[in-house]
This record gives sequence, C-alpha cells and structure tokens, in this order.
Amino acid sequence: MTSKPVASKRPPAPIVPAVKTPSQVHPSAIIADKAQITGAHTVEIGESAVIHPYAKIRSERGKVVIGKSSIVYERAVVGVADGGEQDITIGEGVNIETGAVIEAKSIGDGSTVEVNASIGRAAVVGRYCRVAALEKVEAGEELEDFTVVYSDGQRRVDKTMRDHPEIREAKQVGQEKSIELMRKMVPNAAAKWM
Amino acid sequence: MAAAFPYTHYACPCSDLTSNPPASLSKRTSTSQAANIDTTEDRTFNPHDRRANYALYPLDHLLFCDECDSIRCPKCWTEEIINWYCPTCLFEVPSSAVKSDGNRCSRNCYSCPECTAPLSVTAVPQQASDYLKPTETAIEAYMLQCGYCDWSTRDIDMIFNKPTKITEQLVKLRKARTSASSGKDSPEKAAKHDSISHDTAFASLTTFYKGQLSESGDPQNPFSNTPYSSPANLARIMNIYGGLSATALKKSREKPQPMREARDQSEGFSAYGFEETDHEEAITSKLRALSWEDTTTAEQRLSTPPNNDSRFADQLWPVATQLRTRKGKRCKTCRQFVSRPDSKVTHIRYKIRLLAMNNVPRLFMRPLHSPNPAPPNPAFRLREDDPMQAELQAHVAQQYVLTIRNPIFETIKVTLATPGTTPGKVASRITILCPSFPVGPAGDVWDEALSSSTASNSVSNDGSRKAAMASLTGKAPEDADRQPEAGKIWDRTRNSTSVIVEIVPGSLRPPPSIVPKTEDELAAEELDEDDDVLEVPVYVRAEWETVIDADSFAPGEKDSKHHGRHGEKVSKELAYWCVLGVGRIAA
Repeated sequence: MTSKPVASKRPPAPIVPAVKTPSQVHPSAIIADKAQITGAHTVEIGESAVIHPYAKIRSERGKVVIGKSSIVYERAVVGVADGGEQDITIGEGVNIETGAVIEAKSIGDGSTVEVNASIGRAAVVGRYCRVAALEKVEAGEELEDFTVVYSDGQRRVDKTMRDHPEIREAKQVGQEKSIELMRKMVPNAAAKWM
Repeated sequence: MAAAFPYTHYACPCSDLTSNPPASLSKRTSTSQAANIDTTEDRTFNPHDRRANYALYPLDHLLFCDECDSIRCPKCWTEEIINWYCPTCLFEVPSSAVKSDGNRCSRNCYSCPECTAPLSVTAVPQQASDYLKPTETAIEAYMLQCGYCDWSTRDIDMIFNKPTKITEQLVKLRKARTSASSGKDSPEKAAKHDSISHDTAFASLTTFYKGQLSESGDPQNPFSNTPYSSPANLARIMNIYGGLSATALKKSREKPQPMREARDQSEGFSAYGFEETDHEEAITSKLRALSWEDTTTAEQRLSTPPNNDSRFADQLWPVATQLRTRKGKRCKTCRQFVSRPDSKVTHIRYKIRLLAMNNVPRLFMRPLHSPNPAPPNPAFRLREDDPMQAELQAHVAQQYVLTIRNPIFETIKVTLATPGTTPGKVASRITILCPSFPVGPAGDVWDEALSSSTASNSVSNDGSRKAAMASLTGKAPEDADRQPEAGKIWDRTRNSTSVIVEIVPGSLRPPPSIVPKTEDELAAEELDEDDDVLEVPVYVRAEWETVIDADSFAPGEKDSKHHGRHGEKVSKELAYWCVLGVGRIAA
C-alpha cells in the first residue's frame, strides 16, 4: 500500500502546567534536562545532588526536599500521587535507584532504596538503611536506623554499618566519587529550574 | 497429566505395561481391561492404569540409544559424574580432591549465612584517626561482605590479613575460637562437658569406625572385581607370598567380634543428660534476652558443618559453596553414552546428545474444526489452547488432525494402531481414517527452499483456473469444505503427514441397565479423578531403510545383524506406544 505521508491524527501533547514549580536549587546540583519536576509546592534540591533524566519529582501534595549529595536515578518517582497533603524529606547521601517509588515522609541520611523498590505513604526510613531491589515498605511503617529490608520482606539490622563508623565514612566517600563522575556524564540543565 | 491439552506422551518400552513381562510375573493380575485387542501379541496400553504415569513421558524427556535402536527413559539410563566444579569460580576440582576435601569449594567462594548470596572479599576501611599518621603503612585488613544483605564477617568479629587463601585463614580462626572456648573450662568441668566440638567428634568417630571395620572382619565388597575375592584364590596367593604375621594369624583364628557402636566421648559419641549444666544455662539466659531474629533457623544450621552447633545469629560462619557435577547418561543395556556434556566447565555444548526428538516420529493432535469462531485478529486471542480446553460432549463425534513429523533423513512408513474403544472406565470410540502411510524425510532448510515449487501436494498442478489462483494466492482452494475420507491422507508436507482421527467420546455414566447391579459393580463404575480425561493410546510403528556405511562398524567387527555388504540397504523398525491427551469429557 502506498500513501503520502499524512500528518498524524493523534491528540495534541498534554498541556504544560501554567504554574512553574517553585524550586530552590543549589548551584552545584546536577539536574538532567529530561528530569521532570512538577507540582505547586516547593522543591528544594541540595548541594551536589544529582537528578537523572526521566526522574520524577512530584510536589503536588507537599514539599519535597532532597538533601546534599543525594542521587535520584532514572524513572524514580519522589512524591505522593494522591491522598492528603504530605511532605517528603530525603536526607543527605541518599541513593534512590532506578524505578523506585518514594512516598515516605522521610528517608534518613546515607540510606539506599534499590531498584524498583517502593516505600509507602507516611513511612519513615532511618539512617543508613538499605531497601533491596523490588522490596516494599508498607505505608506508615517506620524503619529503625541501619535496617536492611531484603528477600521478600525480611528485616535485619546491619551491624557492620552500625558498629563501625569507618564503614559509614567509606560509603560517603564512595557517594562523593559517584557524584563527581556524574558531573562529567550528565549534562546539567539545572538552570531551567533555578 | 500434562497441563494443557492436547498433549502427547510417549511410553518407554522398559515398563511392564508396554512390553511382555517374564512368564512368572504374568500371573500377577494387571489391569483388568488388558484384553488382547490389537493385532500384536502385546497388551493394549491402558493410560488410565494406576502405573501408567510412571511409563509416560513427554518427548523432550526421552533420549534414544542408537546401538539398541530404542527409546530410553530416565529409568533406563545411568548417570555418571564427569567432573566436579564450583558454580561460583568455575574451577574444576579433580575427583581425588573431592574425595579427600569434601564437596565444597576450597578457594574463597563463600555464601552469606543469612541470605545465601555470594560473599565478596572487601577491604576494611581504615579508621579516620589513621589519616593523621601518614608515615605508617596502611594495615591490610579484609572481610567477606554480602552484596545483598550487607552481612559481613565483622559481625562475627572476623578480619583477614590477606585477600587470598580465605579457606586457610578461616580454618585457623575456627580452630583458635573452638580451642579458646574449650580451654576456658577448667579440667573437671571439661570432663562433664556434654557436647564436644563437631570436628573432634567427627575425627574420633571416623577412627573408631575404621577400627571396628578392620577388627570385625567385614565381608568383602561383593561388587569389587578384584581377582582375589574368592577365598580359595586369596588363600592360594597368600601361600605363595608367605603367610600372615603371628598377630594376624591369631586374630583370624579368634572369633571375630561383631561390630559395635560408639559408646563414649573418646569414641565420638556424646549423650545429653537431664541435668542442667552451666553451659546450657548460659544459652537459655541468652535466649531469653534476645529476639527471634537473633536465633538461627534449621536451614542455617544445616548449611555447613561449622554452623551445626550455632544457636545464635552472631555465631554463624560463612558457608562454603557446594560443588556441582557434570553428569553423563549411559544406556543401561549397552553402556553407550546417550548424553555426554563437554568436560570443560565453560563449554555448554554436548559431545554426544542423542535425543528422542531427533530419532523418533513425533505426533501432534489438533481439532479439525476449531469450535470457537476465530477472532479477527490473532493478536487478540488470550490463550492459544482455547479450542481444546472446552469440554468434549459425550456421543458427539469429533474429528482431529493427527500429524506425524519425521525427524530422520529417510522416508518412513508409519503404521498406527489403536483399540476401537479406549480402555478404562469411559469407553470412547476411536477411528483412524488412514492407519498406514509414508512420511517424507527431514532435510536441510536448503532442500526445502530449492524444491519449494513442487513441495505442497495440496495445491494441484493441473493447469486449471483454480490451480492458477491457488498458486497466486498461496492457498489451497476450498480448504474448509474438504471432507475427510477413509483411507486418504489429509495433508502432507516435506517431512510430516496428517491424517484424520474420528473420536466419539463415551459418556461418563453408564446407561441405566434393566438388571439391578450388585454393589461391586456399582463401586467399579464410580469415576476416580481424571477418569474423565479422554486419552487415546496409539501404537506407532515406523519402518524405514538405511544404507549401512563403513563408519558405523568398528574396524574388523562383523555384525551378524546385517546380512548385506557395506552399502546395502537394511530395513529398520521402531515401535512404541504413545498416549494422545485430547480433552476432558463434560459430565
């Protein structure tokens, strides 16, 4: 079948919200161009934080604060989608890996939420926690500091991290190094949101 | 019973149901319906027999022995270990090392005791205070860390000095710990100590039992094929080479002691008494203080010998990975390898792999007319097997297309036989419209492409207008109106032939009879689970001719089976039962 190229009859692209998200972005933060930051409430992005392409930060229901040296990877969603008002605070040195869904009230310093994990509404995640891939933290749950969520809901306390401060420092050093690398690899479009 | 209809299961000739048992066993009553229905002297295969499932396999579970020219099922082959390897480091361990050191990797491959993920050797980061003394060399310290749950050997306070030879270091540390804990007890307490460490117990038990074996004069291994196994031979050889020493002669004259079990701790046996020792009190008080997660599970305790006695999570030792084996399969009758993987661990190819799929004609069954109207777009069909999942109605004749696919490179002549009514409680009538037909050879893909102009027989070449249209559009004319005819093949492609099978499912309830039935008869008519599945036993016989070439003989061997000279055709035959699962009969 031959035919001339015809203009596609798809509906027009979704309307860009008229209100620009009020944001306080630190000058050393790295935000990719394709990152999506939407919503009416304030979004604070701390020093050396990295937001990867296609990461979604939704401040429709509340303020979102991303701490120093935290990294939000691709397709991660930080923000509550529906329901009442709730702020989200992400601490320093936190890794929100690819595809993770964060609706928690707060995530403590140094924690890692791994690929495709989900943290429910109003949950509180402590410091230096680790939520393994595809795990779920239920809404309202509180995780103590140094908790590891792994293997389909099992919990354990990470004594290595707890008892040895040098290991926590090593993690921070590793985080700084990753951020330096991302500074070179991710083209920075933070000016769009400043 | 397979998950989805239609299925085909093949019966291995090794079972009683498919071949004649020896005369002494045939007195035992087997299936009551085993009437000699079919033409051969074998009994009809009853797929509803209670033992039928032990003989039936899907075709991909079967191998084929080409020396014996028959199907081999998992009961007909012996497995032989070709080599041992560690799944983590892929290092091949010689079997002598496996016999002495055990079946675990001895080379740094350990798994986390909490989550069974592999442990990796990581450097322990230095204390921040060390940065103030740059002149001192860095203290090398390593630990094993789990990549998944963050468990590390620092949880049990264990640090290594070098990143290699972890096994050695672990053994040393373990010895240090167990000797330290036992050295703490005073000598009197040690005597009353109920449990001894696992390693000492194992060592004492092995020495004790080895001593018992030599003392009690156990009978020689009947399976050993040493030339000295008969006592007469042994005595003769001993006479030639000199007699036994005085002590051995004395022992042989005395009555040998029967073998006894270990009795006390010196021999490795430890009993548990009722009185509480301090050792146990310490454990129970600790148990009261800690929570559930801090105790070990039975799985964790069984994962490795050092963990057998550990009750608390902070005593768990890293688990050495268990070695895996590469196995070859040998035919039980002729000892030829029917499946032999490559001995190199990283190569996943097989040196020899004789699959039944490549040597045995394969049967498929599908309904002739699909009962549901085909949806306009095949992408919208949710499940492929919808037509067959619908239940069959009793007494309604159904027609199925039975396709035989030939995997070998010669034309085979296939004969099918099936009892007129299916054996079992529900009798359905089966008719194969064309029971005997040839199937073409399987060839290379190039053969098919080059001969595509003459491949399809369904399109006639008679130059009529219909044929011209058919060759243009690629479809046979009036496919839907074709009526199945008795004695005619339905369809033929290069290496497969299809025939029509007519099935009239029987009813699940027998017709009401005038004569009242006894209780036994009523009980016999009760349907068990899966008696409503319509399974058709089919006896398939394939005959073909092959050319004997020089390679198939061992040099110098004269094979009496084949009468002809090299290069002459010889006829071969393969026969087996298979069961076609058609569907369930609606009540």
